[in-house]
Amino acid sequence: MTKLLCPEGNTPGAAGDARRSGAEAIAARIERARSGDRAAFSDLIRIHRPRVQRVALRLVGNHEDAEDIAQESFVRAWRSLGSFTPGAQPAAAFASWMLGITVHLCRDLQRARGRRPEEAAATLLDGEAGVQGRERAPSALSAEAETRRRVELAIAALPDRLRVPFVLRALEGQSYDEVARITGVRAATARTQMVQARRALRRMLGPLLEEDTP
Amino acid sequence: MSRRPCKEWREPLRAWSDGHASLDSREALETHAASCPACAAELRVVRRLRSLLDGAAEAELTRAGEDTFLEGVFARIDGEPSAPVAPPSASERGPARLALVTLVTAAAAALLLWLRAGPSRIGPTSSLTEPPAETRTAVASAPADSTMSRDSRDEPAQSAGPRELVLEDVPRTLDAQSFDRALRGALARSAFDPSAPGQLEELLTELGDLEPAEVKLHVRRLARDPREPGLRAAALRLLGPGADARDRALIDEQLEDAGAPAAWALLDVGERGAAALWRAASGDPDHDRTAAALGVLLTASRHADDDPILLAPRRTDAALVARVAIARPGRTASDLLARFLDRGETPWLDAWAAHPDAAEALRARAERGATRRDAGHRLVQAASRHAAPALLPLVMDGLRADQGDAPAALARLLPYGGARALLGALESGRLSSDIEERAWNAALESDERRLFDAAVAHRALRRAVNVTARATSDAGLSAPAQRMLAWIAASSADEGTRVDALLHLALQGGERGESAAAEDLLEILEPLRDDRAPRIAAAAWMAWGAWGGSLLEAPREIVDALHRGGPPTALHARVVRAVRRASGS
Repeated sequence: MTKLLCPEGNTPGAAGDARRSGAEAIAARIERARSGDRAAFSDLIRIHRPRVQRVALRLVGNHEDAEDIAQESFVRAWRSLGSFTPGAQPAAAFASWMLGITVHLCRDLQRARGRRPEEAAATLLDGEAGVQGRERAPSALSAEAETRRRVELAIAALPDRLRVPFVLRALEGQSYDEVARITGVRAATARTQMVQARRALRRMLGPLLEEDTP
Repeated sequence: MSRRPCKEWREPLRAWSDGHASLDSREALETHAASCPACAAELRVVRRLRSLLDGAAEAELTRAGEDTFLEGVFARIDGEPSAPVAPPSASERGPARLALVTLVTAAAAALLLWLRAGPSRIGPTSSLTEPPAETRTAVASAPADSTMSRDSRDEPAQSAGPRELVLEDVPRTLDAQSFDRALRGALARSAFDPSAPGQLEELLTELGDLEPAEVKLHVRRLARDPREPGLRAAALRLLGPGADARDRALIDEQLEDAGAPAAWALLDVGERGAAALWRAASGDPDHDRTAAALGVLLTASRHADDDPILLAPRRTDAALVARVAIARPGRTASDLLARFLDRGETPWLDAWAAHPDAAEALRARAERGATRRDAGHRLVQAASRHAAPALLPLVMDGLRADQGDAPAALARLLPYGGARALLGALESGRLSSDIEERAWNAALESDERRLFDAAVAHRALRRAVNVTARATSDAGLSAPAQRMLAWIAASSADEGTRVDALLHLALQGGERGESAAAEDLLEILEPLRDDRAPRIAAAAWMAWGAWGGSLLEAPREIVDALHRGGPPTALHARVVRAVRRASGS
């Protein structure tokens, strides 16, 4: 059942029918949630939490704030469900709407704290490496972990106006139109930002990109 | 210098890089790359980048249990203080923590700035493509080719705030000359057309990053410089994405002299820029500024990605589109209007439909017969809230299409020809009975006098009688319907129509008893009782009695006329008996 509700639409087998029924099931839950059904809203939280929290983590750079923002995103969503316009594709519209709320909350938090995400990214990566990792020299980390660390840092080092569209499109699979809707810019602007983001990332990852693809 | 990938394959390469390429597209790209070294080289990089991103995308979330998370959400919804889902502590999320973090971060930032104050970071001879290798600075927005290291391990810990990250060799430093050189080179290579949509990406790809503040200052200077129009045009386009308020004002200033490049740049700014562009387009149609803005809006509206309509709703004066369409009433403006109607949302359409200019533009549009059904539907809804005369053709279309809200919209348009249009539609017989009844009732309830006047002018009084009677609901004749029938009985030139109107009144009055409006009705019926035509007089007496009037004075000949010529209905017989009893016969 849960598989059918997968918002990414990448259910194993990816049968069109399964996707459709998943979307319909989500749409039904959205409708029930709009009329105050908490159980339906809980289902929506279960479905959308991974993506919401993942985006928040990318944007704020630490697990605590990401989890906090994920919760607050759903709180804001619940309070604003009345103003949500489902449109022809309620499931997709809801997913975009949730991400829009999340992105705004992340920006608010960073503005309030005056803290850059790449700084937070260091904390994040340290946290993932764990106590042992902190005590070991960087050279002792596995090559794979080091590569991942560089990629994470490079993404975090993108300026906010490039990182948000990059995360949404390249990591979360959103279309240009969806990115534009979520971030409040034109699709053409989102394209331009992606050009800049790709280029900046390639510069930062230069040597890594020259290695052979595994 | 290596060759760039073929132009037609750049978008598929970007899609691959973003993880959006379809299997077909990837296969086609691979096939092409097999015979194209430049694309093959690019594809290798793109594949590697994608694989790195795929690895990063799988970053694990440390997550609180689902139940705990849900409880936290609903606790917040219910206004209870929520326990933090994850440490460190609840107090850290409060205002006090925020204030402390802000204060400490600000202090740390001030200290860093002070420590770094020194010579200008603009390198005197650095170039765009060859950044100085020694440059080391804090992470900036878009670093150049670099390897990253976090060197905080080697530095004394800051007293507060997170550790500083340092990227080697970034950012590049630029001076005015090197930027000029790079810009000219990019323009020469990419055949940049500043007035064409979609050219900005190519220029940015050629040019490199524009993040350093020094570069931006130089771009601003070039954007104001009329001596080299090509450079100014490119600089304006470069300013567009990410423009702040100052840049926006600068671009707006240049709209008159620089024309289309400035207009495109405004569109590139985003919503605020588009709003400025709409304002400019609604100015004096003979002015260069207006012409440039309008031209770009019309061109952009034909490209889905650059659709200016998407940027205008809600934040822009809705009537601007109408003014724009009126200012250039050609086919392109008409198409622009059609896109607006398709895309516009209800609040905007509401505001727009109420504007007199909008009515004029819409009339032109409606006459072209190209308004889409969906837009028409929404405009009909808008018309039910605001009387926009030009919407009448759409509303009538809505009636014929059995659109549920068309009757209410029509009612608002009675003063603007709606009454005559309704009668015409009724006579055409193309309305379904349900929509006919609803339209007639809505029109009656809205303004029965106007409907009556239209029926007189249209010579459609008999039709009006029939429709009014048929539209009578279970609740009986409404007061406007009663008055309508009484007026028709009093003024029609056709005896049969007058008798019908009176008998319908008698029928309804007899079944429903006295009406609150009976006195008004009796006032109209009273003179009809003395009509020279016996059947009219008799029917008037019937209606008079049915609505509570005294039948005592009914003259003998009327009673006889009723007896002879009345319709064979139970009501008729009942009324005749009552008249006879009252007249003592």
